[in-house]
Amino acid sequence: MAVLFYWPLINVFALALGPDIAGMVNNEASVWPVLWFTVWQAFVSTVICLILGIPGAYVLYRKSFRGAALLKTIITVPFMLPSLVVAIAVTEVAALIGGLNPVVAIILANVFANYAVVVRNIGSQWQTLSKSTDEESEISGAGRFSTALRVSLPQLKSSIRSSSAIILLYCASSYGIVLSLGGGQINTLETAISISVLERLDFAHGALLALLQITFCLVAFAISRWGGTNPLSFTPTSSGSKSLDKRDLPAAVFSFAVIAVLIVLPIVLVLSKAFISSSGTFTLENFALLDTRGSRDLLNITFLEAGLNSLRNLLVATVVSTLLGVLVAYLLAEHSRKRRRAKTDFLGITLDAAFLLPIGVSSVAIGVGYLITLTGDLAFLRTSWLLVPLVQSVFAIPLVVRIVYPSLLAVETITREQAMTDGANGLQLFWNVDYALLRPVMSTAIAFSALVSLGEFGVASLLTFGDQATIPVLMYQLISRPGAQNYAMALAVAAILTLITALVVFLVSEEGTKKLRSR
Amino acid sequence: MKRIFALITVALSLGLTACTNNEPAGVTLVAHDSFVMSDDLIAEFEASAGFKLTIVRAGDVGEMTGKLVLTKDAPIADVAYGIDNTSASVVEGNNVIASNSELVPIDFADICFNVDINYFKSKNLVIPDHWKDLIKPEYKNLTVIENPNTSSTGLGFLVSTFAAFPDDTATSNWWSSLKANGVKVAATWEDAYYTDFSGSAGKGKYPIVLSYSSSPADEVDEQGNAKTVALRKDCFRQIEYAAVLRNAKQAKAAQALVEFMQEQIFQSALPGSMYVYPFDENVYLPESWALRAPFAISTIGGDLAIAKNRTAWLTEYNRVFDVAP
Repeated sequence: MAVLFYWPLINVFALALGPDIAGMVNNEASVWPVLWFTVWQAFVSTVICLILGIPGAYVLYRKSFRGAALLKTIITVPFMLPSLVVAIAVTEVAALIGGLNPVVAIILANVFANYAVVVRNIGSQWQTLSKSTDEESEISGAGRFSTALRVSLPQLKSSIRSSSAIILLYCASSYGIVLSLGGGQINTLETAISISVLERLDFAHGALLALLQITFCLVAFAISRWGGTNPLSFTPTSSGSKSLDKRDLPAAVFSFAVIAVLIVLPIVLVLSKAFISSSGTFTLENFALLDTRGSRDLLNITFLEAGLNSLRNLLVATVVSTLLGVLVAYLLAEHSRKRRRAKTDFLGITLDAAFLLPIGVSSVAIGVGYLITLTGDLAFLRTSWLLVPLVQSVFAIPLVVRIVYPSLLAVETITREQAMTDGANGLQLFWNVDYALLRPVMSTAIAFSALVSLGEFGVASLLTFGDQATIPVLMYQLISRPGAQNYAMALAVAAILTLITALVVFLVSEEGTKKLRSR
Repeated sequence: MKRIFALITVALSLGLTACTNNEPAGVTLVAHDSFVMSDDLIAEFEASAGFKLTIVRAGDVGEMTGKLVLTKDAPIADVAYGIDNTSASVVEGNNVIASNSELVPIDFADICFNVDINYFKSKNLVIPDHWKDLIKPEYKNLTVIENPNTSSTGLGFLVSTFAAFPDDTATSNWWSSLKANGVKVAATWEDAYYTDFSGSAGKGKYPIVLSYSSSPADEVDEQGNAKTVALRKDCFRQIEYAAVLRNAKQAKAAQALVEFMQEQIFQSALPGSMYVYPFDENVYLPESWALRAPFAISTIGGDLAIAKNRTAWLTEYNRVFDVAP
């Protein structure tokens, strides 16, 4: 972790804070407008997510009804989709309604992808709030809406804060979305970083932008951690929720409409367009094109070859991130068991933060860190294929830790103590007790780190050259070049990735797990 | 720490690639996305040189140049084609080319505006005489150009605007007027020409596009009449080069490829495959080109210190257009 993450990061800081900084900061045109747009679009997207998502959190988590679990799963799909697939989905929506302003398109993509964060995160907390306060408030004559506004929302402060911070963070690091929907005209810090570095070869300027990007994300990240809630929890604890009734109708209708238009429509458009020919009949033509290199042989390799690259990267990234992630989670859990009584545990907090940080740092900034770091004798590593999966695993480790750590903590101390009394050593303890109890969580962790690697675009676009391109890199080449054949191919891949993502999300969701078990 | 990192990575990559390194001798060419070489020509080169040719496309010229510099110590190819006179300085300043090689001119193209003749006829509008006229009110919302930050076509035109006016203030003012006159900025030439331009395949909304003097050669209707025409005054002449890269694995074959590109057989295929003029003046141009795709009447900007001013010009453009890369 120190080598793969912090070393490039420190190099970025060192270069950005070099002697040229004063001149570059003064050169307003090159820094402030991008910073402003990055922050602005992130805030607007976050506010819209909150407005649309809070009723959804209420309906899906505070209330219960048939199909609620399925809806929870459906809204999670966009969150896990590769950013370029999100961009294609929004492009399809734009085509349907006759064009969208690029800024609006970017914000729509952000909301589409992050709606689930609000619903799941705030919903999980809402579920645990005492129902008697609501009832009292209603007895005193307040409606559901004013109860939610005056009684519930103030109690939900911590999850509102943490989910807002997480969305800010994701919206400020949505490189693929801005790159493909902004069309080179609209830049956030990340796209500006890649232009500075890849085209202008101005590393110092790129590093300065990366520093701003990292700082913004760290602030958002710190805020999200502050409340102590787990912003990336995928398995909320459910308790008895009241069923929907007539007085919830406005909230329910609103939320179902939002989910239908915001979440389901774009996904359906991508899937249907991929399978329907221009004459309106069902076809697999678009998928047959995947064996070609696009119109005018634009691509250097076919999607099948890129698929193999992606698969290879995925395997390396998943193995590395799962091993390291579980190890870190295990150490953290051990540590916290020993320190349970201590009030302030600086080491624990530091360890926790050190391994979670990559979630909050833009992959483009880290990619730049690698390009700066790998010079001189190490320059040949820039073209080594292994670099990409290793960096991707750094981004997946925090996810693994977040998923595994709470379950490890939940392993009953008494079970472990019994095992120890029976003479189990450390390894046996881990394998027979911890691992056995972890197995279901592990599949979630593996599935999500695989998805991270599969959809990762920032690092791959900066660090893959020639025949090492991955699926998202090829997709970007296709959608950034006109031509019906190119777009048809990109759509077909988007459809495949959507199906894979949906399948994975469904399988690891509560409902999927239940179905599997009952078989 | 550098050493540990290197060791880990080397060990892993050796272990994983050890069994796949038995490929036949081949030479790799890196080129921009618009590069086209027919299968016949590839076969011709492979037969005469005895090397298999692999072509890697690396984005637009700017993107390709960046990749060449970033990978110069372990290059992704042996030969680069498509470095042009707006990007040559970057390549030369970064020690990318083999010490016994140089940038060899292969072809050139004149960056000129094209107009959709049918649109102008149907609206009874006079075709502008010079690109400076595009700020006139009658051409409001009709023009699409390429972003000079992301497109070499856009960059070449940006250079010519700094050559066409008495001073830089006048140039900036012209750009402000162009923006005010509703110019659309596309990211790449392909976006502008194939998607936004009304006179080509995409049938877009804009009847004036920043393209090349040679583009009209391909835009002919069923009766054989020209559908588009180029504004050929004060264009920018973009010269494209090929060079052997430093640290090329197949230096000899690389040299042979650069020489092949200068031969008659490759040069005479250039108009048909890439819509550019062969650099060799003795090479015959297709007949239709004399009619529809003649050179620019005048070119400007080629004598400016492009390397020195590139960043300043782009910054000025970005100030006017309020984009900040």
